[in-house]
Amino acid sequence: MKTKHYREYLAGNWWKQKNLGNDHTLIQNNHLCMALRSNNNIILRGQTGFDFEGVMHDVGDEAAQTKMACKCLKQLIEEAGGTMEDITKITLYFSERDFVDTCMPIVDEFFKGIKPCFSLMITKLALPDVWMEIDADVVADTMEEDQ
Amino acid sequence: MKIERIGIDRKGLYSDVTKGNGEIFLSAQTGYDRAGTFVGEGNAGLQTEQACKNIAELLSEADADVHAICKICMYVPNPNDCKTVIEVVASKFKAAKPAMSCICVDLEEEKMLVKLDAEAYKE
Repeated sequence: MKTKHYREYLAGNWWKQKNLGNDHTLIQNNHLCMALRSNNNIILRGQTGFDFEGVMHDVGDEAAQTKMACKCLKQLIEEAGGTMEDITKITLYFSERDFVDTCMPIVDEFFKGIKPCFSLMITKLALPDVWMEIDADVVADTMEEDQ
Repeated sequence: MKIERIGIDRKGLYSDVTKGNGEIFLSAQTGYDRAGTFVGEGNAGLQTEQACKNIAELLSEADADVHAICKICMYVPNPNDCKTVIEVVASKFKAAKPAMSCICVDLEEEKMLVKLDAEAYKE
C-alpha cells in the first residue's frame, strides 16, 4: 500500500510560540502532516482556525475560526486528489455548547449539497484559543500515481 | 468516488449513512429515535439501547447488518454512566465483536447522556 503525505511539518515548529506546558519534547522532534492519501482514503489533520502557516487570525471568534477550518479542509482534500463530493462524514468539536448555534449555520452552508454523515461533541481542545475543530472522513478514487 | 448516501436528516443536510469502497459511515446516534422522539430522558441505558437500535436499522437500510460493525466510539458526558453504556453496547453488538473506545465529553443537548459513532465495513 502506497501512502502519500501532504504538507508535512515539524511539530516543534508548529507549536513554537504556542504555550503547551512544560514537556513538549516528544512533539518537538516529530514529523507530522496535514493530510495523507492511502489507497482510497484521504486522512486529514483536524482543522481549526489556524491557517497552513500556523497563524490563528480569529482569536475569540468561533464563527471566523469555523470559516477558516472549512476553507482549509476543502483545500487539503483537493490537494490530496479528492473532491468535496468524496466526503463521507464530518465530525465537529466545539469548546462551548453555545458555539453550536453560532457555527453550525456556517457548517451547514459550506457542506450544503454534499450530505455527509455528521457527528458533534463539546470538548476542550488543544489550546485555549482554539474554539472549534473539524474532522472529515474522505473516500476518494485512487490516483494513477498510487498504482 | 461515487459515494452512496442513504437517508437524510430533518434539515435535509446530512445523510444517515454513506458508503464508499466498502466502508460504511453513520451519523452519530443518540436517544432520539428515527422519528425524532427522545427516548430515555435521564436514563443512559435506555438512550444507549435506542442509539444501538438506530445503528442496526441504518445498517440494514445500507444493505448490511451489525456484523459489519468494526468500531463503536462512545461519547458519555458523565463518567458514572460509562459502565452502563459499555454493557449495553457490548450486549447489542456482541455478534460483531467490534473494537471500542469510550470517552467523556459533553454533547450538544444536556439531556443527551450518550452518543454513539459506528464505523462499519462490508465488501
